[in-house]
Amino acid sequence: MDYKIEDNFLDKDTFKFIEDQLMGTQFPWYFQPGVVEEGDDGLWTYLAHQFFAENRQQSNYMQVLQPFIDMLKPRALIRVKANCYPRSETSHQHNFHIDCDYTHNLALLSINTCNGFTVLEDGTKIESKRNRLLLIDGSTKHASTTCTDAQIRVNVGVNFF
Amino acid sequence: MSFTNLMTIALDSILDEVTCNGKCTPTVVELGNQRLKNNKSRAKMYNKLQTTGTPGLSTTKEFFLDIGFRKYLAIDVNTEMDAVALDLNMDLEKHYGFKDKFDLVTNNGTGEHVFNQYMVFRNVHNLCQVKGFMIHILPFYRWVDHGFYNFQPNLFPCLALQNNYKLHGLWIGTSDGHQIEKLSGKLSRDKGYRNQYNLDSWERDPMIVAIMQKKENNEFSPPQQHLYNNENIASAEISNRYK
Repeated sequence: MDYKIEDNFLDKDTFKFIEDQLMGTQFPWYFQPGVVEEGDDGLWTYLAHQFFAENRQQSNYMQVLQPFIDMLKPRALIRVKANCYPRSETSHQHNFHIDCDYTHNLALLSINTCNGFTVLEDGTKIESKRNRLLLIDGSTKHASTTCTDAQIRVNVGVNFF
Repeated sequence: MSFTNLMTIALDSILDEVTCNGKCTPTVVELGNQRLKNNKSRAKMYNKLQTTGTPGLSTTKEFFLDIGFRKYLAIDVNTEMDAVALDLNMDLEKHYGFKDKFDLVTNNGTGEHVFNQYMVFRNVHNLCQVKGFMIHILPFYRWVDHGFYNFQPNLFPCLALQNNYKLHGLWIGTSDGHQIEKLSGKLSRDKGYRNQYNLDSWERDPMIVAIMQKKENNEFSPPQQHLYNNENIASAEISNRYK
């Protein structure tokens, strides 16, 4: 399965600014009653913040991510969303899902290092490492997991052409 | 644009082939998102499929999924009605990296609003699988100041010849499907259509319908109008480009 990893994707200052915002106590996270739309048991939840969807900006915090988005050089944005998975006692893998059913790019930027990871359809596990970028086709199946060694697992997903 | 009776009738004419008589689950992409409107023709299609259809369908995507398609996408300048926002003036493959292929591509009242006609027909070609179908339903006669362009019947046989498409149907008709005239699909232009079909008396503005099948995995090639082809071209550099 095709994927690309780039560690230390953003320069230190740019990443630190994003990290400070998303890991700070004032950032608005919104409760999501299920991690994936179908097949979940309904007991696993997470928090999210939607920056861009439905072809328009959805958040006043968009400028926080703008340097990151600019680095991706997108021709068209589909969705920009930050995810925050609370720690669980044991690691839990959510169900596999796709973001959209047409071929496009998904860039996942890990905000903190933890033992949570992203699982690709072929079983490949991509660990969450601070400032690591994972690039995959967002129409291929992938799954997220919780972590056990940090309070939260935070990443930012950008779906784009 | 609306998913009209005319569109449904055009789809119905190839539905058995697209769905392998119900044995396969095809995919469809539409240029322009489509508002579902065509109750009458959909009822006829459901009769043919020996089903009543799911009641209360509100979107074109739901309709396609209901008749056996597995995947639906529209391409428009916004993301309403299951669309993805991509600029049809651009080469979707080169500009966006969008290389997905579909069993059916529709250009139902969208292409006339796009300036870059070369790119519209190239994108339709590139979006279509080999053995897949392309349906163009575009303004033909009258349609005053509707889009940037109206289209002539002789375009489509020339397009089919140049790109080795099978021309399954070439019609002129009204969006409500009440009037449909099937044309022969000849390469030469015919200035007699207006009188032969008494087009000025039609209540609704006539549209052109072209239903084509892609036969091979070839590069898109723009056609030369038949009238000016072959011996009319003095330059070998030009004539070698056209069939």
